[in-house]
Amino acid sequence: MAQVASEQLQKYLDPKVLAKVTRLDLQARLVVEGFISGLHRSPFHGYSVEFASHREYVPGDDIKHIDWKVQAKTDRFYIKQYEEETNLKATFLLDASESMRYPPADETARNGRMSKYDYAGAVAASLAFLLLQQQDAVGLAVFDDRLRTHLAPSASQGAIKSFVRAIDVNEPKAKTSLEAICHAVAEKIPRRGLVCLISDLFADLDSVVRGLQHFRHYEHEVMVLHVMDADELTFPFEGNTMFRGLEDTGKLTIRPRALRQGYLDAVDRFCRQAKRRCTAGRIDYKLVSTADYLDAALCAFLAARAAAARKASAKR
Amino acid sequence: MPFMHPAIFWAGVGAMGVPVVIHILNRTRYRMRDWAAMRFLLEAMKKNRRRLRLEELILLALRMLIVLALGVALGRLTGCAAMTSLPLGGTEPAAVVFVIDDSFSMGQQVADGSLYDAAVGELAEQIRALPEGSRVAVVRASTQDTGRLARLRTVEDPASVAEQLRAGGLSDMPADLADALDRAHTLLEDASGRRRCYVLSDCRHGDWVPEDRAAKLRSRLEAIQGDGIDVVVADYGRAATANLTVEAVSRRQADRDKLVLAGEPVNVRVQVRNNSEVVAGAATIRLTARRPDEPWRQAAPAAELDTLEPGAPAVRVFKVTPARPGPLVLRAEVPRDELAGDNAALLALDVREAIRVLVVDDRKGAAPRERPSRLLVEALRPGDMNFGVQADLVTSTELAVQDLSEYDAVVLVDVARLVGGTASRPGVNEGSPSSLAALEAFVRGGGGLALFTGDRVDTRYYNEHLYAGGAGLLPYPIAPRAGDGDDEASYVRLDVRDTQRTRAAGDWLRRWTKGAEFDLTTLIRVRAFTPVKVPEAGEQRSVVLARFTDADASPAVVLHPFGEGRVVSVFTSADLSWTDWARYGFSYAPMIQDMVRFLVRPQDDGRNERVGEPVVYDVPRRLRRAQAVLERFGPDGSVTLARWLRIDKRLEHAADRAGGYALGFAAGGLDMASVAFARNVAPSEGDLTPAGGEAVRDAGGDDVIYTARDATGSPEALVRAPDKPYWKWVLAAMLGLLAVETVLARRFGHYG
Repeated sequence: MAQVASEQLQKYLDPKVLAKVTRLDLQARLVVEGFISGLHRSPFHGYSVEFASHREYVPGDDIKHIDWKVQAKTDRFYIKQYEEETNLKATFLLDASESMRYPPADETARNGRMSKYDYAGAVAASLAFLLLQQQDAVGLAVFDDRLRTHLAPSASQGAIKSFVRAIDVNEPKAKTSLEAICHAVAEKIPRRGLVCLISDLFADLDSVVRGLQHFRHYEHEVMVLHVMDADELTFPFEGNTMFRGLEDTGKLTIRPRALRQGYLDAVDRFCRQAKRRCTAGRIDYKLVSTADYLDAALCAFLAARAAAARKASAKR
Repeated sequence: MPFMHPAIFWAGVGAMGVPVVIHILNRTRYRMRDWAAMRFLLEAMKKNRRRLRLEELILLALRMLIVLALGVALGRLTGCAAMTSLPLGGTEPAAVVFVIDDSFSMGQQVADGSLYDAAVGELAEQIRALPEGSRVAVVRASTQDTGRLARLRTVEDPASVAEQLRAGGLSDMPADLADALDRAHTLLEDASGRRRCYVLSDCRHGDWVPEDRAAKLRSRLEAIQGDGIDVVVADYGRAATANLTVEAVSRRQADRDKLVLAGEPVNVRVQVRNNSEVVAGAATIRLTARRPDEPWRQAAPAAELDTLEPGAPAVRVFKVTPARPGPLVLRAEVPRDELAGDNAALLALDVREAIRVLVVDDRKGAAPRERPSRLLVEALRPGDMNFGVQADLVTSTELAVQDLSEYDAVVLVDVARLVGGTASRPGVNEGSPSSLAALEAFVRGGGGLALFTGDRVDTRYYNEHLYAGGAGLLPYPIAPRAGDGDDEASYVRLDVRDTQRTRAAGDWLRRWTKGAEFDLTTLIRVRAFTPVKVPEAGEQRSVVLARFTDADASPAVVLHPFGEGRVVSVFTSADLSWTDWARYGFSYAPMIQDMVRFLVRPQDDGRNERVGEPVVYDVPRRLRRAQAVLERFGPDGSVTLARWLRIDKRLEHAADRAGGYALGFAAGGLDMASVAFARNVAPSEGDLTPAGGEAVRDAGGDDVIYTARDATGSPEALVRAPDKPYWKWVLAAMLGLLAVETVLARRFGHYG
């Protein structure tokens, strides 16, 4: 059993990747609410070690927070306020629909490629590991047309094992029902935090955005990692081919070169639309290709987030 | 269809289905692939469905066209019948005879080809257009052709027919359309199915309009049509705009009977006619000469020709003085024009060093003073010097073995009798060489014979063999001598005739016997003579040029035609034994010289003839079995034939091409002799005036389908590429299509 767990960890957590990723902090761009001291600022000014500001004492305040030095100087009562560091509750929504199974197992075995699901799992696990390292709590929801696994956010160091196991036991095989899942999960994580959807988004974009807006409604910070296979982004096929759609999307026999440009245009249009819709909903969007090195993809994503965080901080 | 290999073309048509089959098969052969992003594929497909279908159709059509083009190219599309088809196409197999006019008038140049090229091209294309199973024969109007072309057969390769006709070229013989129609009729007579006869000709006025020719053509065409054979006359004729014809190059009429001697001038008459429809501008007539193995050289200063009205002739006389003996060919030419074949004509001359006379005198071995021929030989060669006559003396016995073809004239001087008899009168010295037969053959062939009587003449032999009842060399039977040669007191004189009939023939005699005022005959006394018995009945072919003044007015000098030659009989002696005429050298010598020149006729009657007349040459005995070479050279001097041969006695060569013919003999590597001939095309061939459709219908009746092939009037339109290699263009188009298909298929995403 212990050996199986180790294999699962190796499958989704590459030490090299983690070594690179941990150099960057996953800083929530928005101030998140938490109760474990992490690296994230809490919106709740209270009683902690790091001084934030003073405010005038009002009856009911604990007198132990009165700054007596200020009272001696000014003869007035001020309460010391501390900026309390809080932990981040991150929930990863991992799409395990059949479309995430691409490329097929035989091809991945032959070429050493990762399926979209495996790639998405590795991304989720790596980020989870990073968050746990920061004392943050990570949760996981694996879904297709229903919620297959749901792990509540946990900051315990052992959480990564259950996290990885949950990814591994699920196999992509059914259709997606993203909106419903979003609504369901949103109700389960009432406290503000980070929600990261890792999916190929092969669903109705409107419904996807509607689902994600639910999280935004609860003031969660929402990230979308749009995972596409390299084949899906370049359509490199030759010769007469019958394409058999996963998730029962039909069949089509074509000469790929004849339709390549039209296909690529459609993909590009979709991605641009997804990005535009996410940006409009204040949702972070990042398109990643399974051809990208995992570390590079994550680094780029985290760097972008860090930059955004600094920008937000400067504004404040 | 105009294909060399129709089967390949049809295979190509069938193979057009191959791209469709491949397309269908390709649709059933594909790789399977599970695909996640199907929505994008479906979306792209929805948007591009029509475009993809159109692209596929375009490529499919291109590929089918490529296969078809390959079939067309490999099937060797070599013509397009639709462009030039003659009437009576039809779809049923037919027996077709093409009568093509290959006379040299068809060589008329129009644009960049000749009428003949155009006709051959149309003929080939018409053959291509014939339904499968048709049988075709080609009859050449100027050539008696017995080859494959002239037999009805299925023609697989029309281009080869055109090639053969072109290789054969134009004939120099005049077209005999009537004879050609006869041959066509014979070919079609027993043929089954539909039968057609196409006549492809320039339909010249001279061939169709003159009544004799029109009648001949009419009878042939009626016979053909009477057998239910369709006749189409394709008329390629067009009037010439520039066409000078050298109609004749000859010696002047007055000189024609004279031999051409080295150093003596010859008057050469050149007649040129303007056979075009417009006035000919100034032109130059050049006269050049060529000896065997020598290039053409200018023979006389060129003569200028002023403007010449249409149809008008012009004559120019050139004076040519051959420097050396031997064969000489003169060429008169005008600048090249539409019809090049008639721009030059040739004249072959046999230039002699001297007139060769054989004097037969049985007393050759006697002392000169005793020889009856002494004064005659002196008259021929005064002082034994060459004044244009070479005289050899032989006895009658030697005459039997002489090769008379080496001589121009023979003079019998008081010869008693000849050796042998003629073929018709055998028995005289039978088995031995017959000098009489040889002499008769010699004169019959154009040689000259002079005969003087004397004491030794065997009257009986002469009458029996030389007179031979009027069939021999002697004009009249003779009687024994009258008078006495030694009796100076008794004599008669000569009465030289001066009638219209004798004037021309006896001019040489009168000139030296009658002065303007003085009659020389008053000096000439004839003491003895051989009386002649003139038969009262029968045809009198002989002309009495002079009579004796005896009571019977016995003929003294008689001209007797014999075959092609002439015999002059003088019924008295050639020396002083019977007459003192020979005493007066100022009269006797020139009279003898003139008589010999009168007798001698150029034995080259066959030298200058129309083309078609065979070259005939009786080889002198000394040249028999010698190595001989016969060359033919065109008017431009290029040798077009060289044939080595050994000739036993006579050369007969069919001269069906115009030009000069030179026959040379060699023995031991040294040229011994040579002789030249000239064959010119008929001058009427130079007249290109078209007969027109009306004349053709007049001759052939209304059932003849007449089609003018120069209907557009444009020479460029008339001359078509005779053998258009369309297949090459189709091949190029196929390669172009292939390139387009490759580019489009790449663009449409069919190729990587």
